[in-house]
Amino acid sequence: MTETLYIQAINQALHEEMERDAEVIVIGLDVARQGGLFGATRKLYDRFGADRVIDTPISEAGFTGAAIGMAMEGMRPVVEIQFADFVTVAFDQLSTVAAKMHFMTRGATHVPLVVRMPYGVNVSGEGYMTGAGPHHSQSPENWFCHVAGLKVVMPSSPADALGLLKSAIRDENPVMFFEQKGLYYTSRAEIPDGEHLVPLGRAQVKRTGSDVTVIATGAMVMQAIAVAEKLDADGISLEIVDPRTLVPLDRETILTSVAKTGRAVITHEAPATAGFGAEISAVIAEHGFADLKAPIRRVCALDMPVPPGSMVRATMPTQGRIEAAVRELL
Amino acid sequence: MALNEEQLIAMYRALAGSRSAEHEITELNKQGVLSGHHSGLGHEAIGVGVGFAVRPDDCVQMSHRSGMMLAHARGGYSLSDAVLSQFGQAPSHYAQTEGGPRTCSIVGLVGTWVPMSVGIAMADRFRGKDTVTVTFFGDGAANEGAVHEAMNLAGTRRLPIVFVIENNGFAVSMPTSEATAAEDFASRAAGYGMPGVTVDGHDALAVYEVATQALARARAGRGPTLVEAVITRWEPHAQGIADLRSAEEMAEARIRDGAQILRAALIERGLLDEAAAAAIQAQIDEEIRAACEQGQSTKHASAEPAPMTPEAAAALTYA
Ligand SMILES: Cc1ncc(C[n+]2csc(CCOP(=O)(O)OP(=O)(O)O)c2C)c(N)n1
Repeated sequence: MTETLYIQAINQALHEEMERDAEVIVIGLDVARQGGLFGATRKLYDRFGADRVIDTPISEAGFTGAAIGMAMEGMRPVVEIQFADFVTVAFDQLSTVAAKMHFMTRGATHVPLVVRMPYGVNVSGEGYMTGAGPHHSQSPENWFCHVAGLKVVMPSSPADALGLLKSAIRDENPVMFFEQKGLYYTSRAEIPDGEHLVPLGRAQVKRTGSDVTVIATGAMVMQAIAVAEKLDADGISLEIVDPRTLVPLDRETILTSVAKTGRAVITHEAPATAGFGAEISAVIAEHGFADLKAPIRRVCALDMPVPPGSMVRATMPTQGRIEAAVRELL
Repeated sequence: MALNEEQLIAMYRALAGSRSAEHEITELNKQGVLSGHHSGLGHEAIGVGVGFAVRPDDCVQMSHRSGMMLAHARGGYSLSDAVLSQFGQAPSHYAQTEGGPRTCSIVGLVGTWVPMSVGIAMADRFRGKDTVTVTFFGDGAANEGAVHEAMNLAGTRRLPIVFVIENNGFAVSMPTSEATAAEDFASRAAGYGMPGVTVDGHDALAVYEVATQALARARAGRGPTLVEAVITRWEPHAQGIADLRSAEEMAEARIRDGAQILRAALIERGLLDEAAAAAIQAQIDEEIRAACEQGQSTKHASAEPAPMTPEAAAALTYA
């Protein structure tokens, strides 16, 4: 076991997969000599050179589309979108081309592509810190969940970041990989020695409990755990489930937990309306309704752009709001 | 339209002033008092040159580099405002102020705002105005698809718009020479059927001249112009981001200095002497010092925000 930062886990996954497979390449803005704006691609350029670590002009549609073409030829490109927010520029390429290629060619061609996207608001153990404004702080995962043909992954810990990114690179489909950028330099934990793979489509029970299931994604997992530790003192026991992969979703783990506790709180950083929590809520309502002792609650950001500065804290799903939702159900 | 003596001195005052304010803001970032700034050091003469050429009713979309200087040069945005806005105590220079010169917000994705600039020019034409839209973006942003689409559209309709590319040689770590195989950006204009002009962006008078001609052309209904202003970025892309240039290269970037160039030009014309320049600088320094003091003394006053209601969120989000 080695103590590793979330950002180092991402970097390690890239190093390992590029070492393993000579057709894994990295492409994006400032990924080569700069090592990425956040440092996720550090040292890749020194190790693998300019043919495999490719800096591009600012042209997200262009380089994402080009990566799709490389993937169609069987290469395994990993695109870095500098901030997840900027993926809007490349959305056409991803939804029109990447997502539908397997279907349109009846499986003759597929797109083994990974798109890495740093998303979200700065966090620490205490909660949300400051926002970088409406165009550098969003959590756009649900935009992609609605496009059949794309897989969507959201690791919440260094070990998952490592294991899921390696699996995403080996997957035969386009995988949208959301890295909570606030975790990059704040989330430090042990990762297993040796090759560590986490399969896509498998949720994880982060903490077992009996009274309420809290389903949390990304940085909300850390927040939910903090709430659980606090509520322990009051004799309230939370079970925390991290889906880890949103598409395909591990419904079973969620439903099993809700069957045990009979109560569900869903928390994510994106706004509530038509967010991924709505999907989880629907899954529970459709398949676990009989198990419910109380209504499902969602704790999400307000339906508004992410405000800059400290104002963001007035709008985010805080630990206090999670706790209040839990207490409401008991 | 040649600037008269008074205007030339005002231009120098605006250039020296915005340079000093930008310098102070950059230093406060280095000291950790402020954070995240995209320093505009090196870009001042573009903002000031264009700022003196536009009319208050022309719509200008400013960049993250020269925007503050441009707002200051247009009037109504003091050096004190520039400094205090960094402390959250004055409106940002991007904001349209009541009765102030006409501007339109940019967005956080580079290049993404250029199509809307074209739309503003279309609206002004539709309403029969003789105003011109001026839109700024960087050499890096110039490679975004939206920018090409916007310029092509503007060309087809001969719209009253001026595109200003601030070519500082870099987009974060990417040198311009690796981001385009073409020699320059101005020659792209031919592909959109508009004139393209390259100008020394450190020379405020040259920028003023080129902008004035482009504005006159647009106002006369003869269509858009692409202006490429070549300058150097003195500082790293943003505070906290390592600059890959060597110390020598960083020093070299500072050799062309817009404030010194204008000062030398005005001294040569006999409009300014060292004593007068020093007197101007003393006033500037005092205004900035006072603003910094005010900004720093009240900086930590902001309290933890109370949770926002959904109604308040909706009111902020929808018209
Ligand atoms: C669509 C988009 N991609 C990437 C970024 C991140 N980014 C912000 S500024 C910048 C460099 C822009 O370069 P340029 O247009 O030359 O302007 P400069 O910053 O050099 O003045 C980048 C890559 C962004 N804001 N928007």
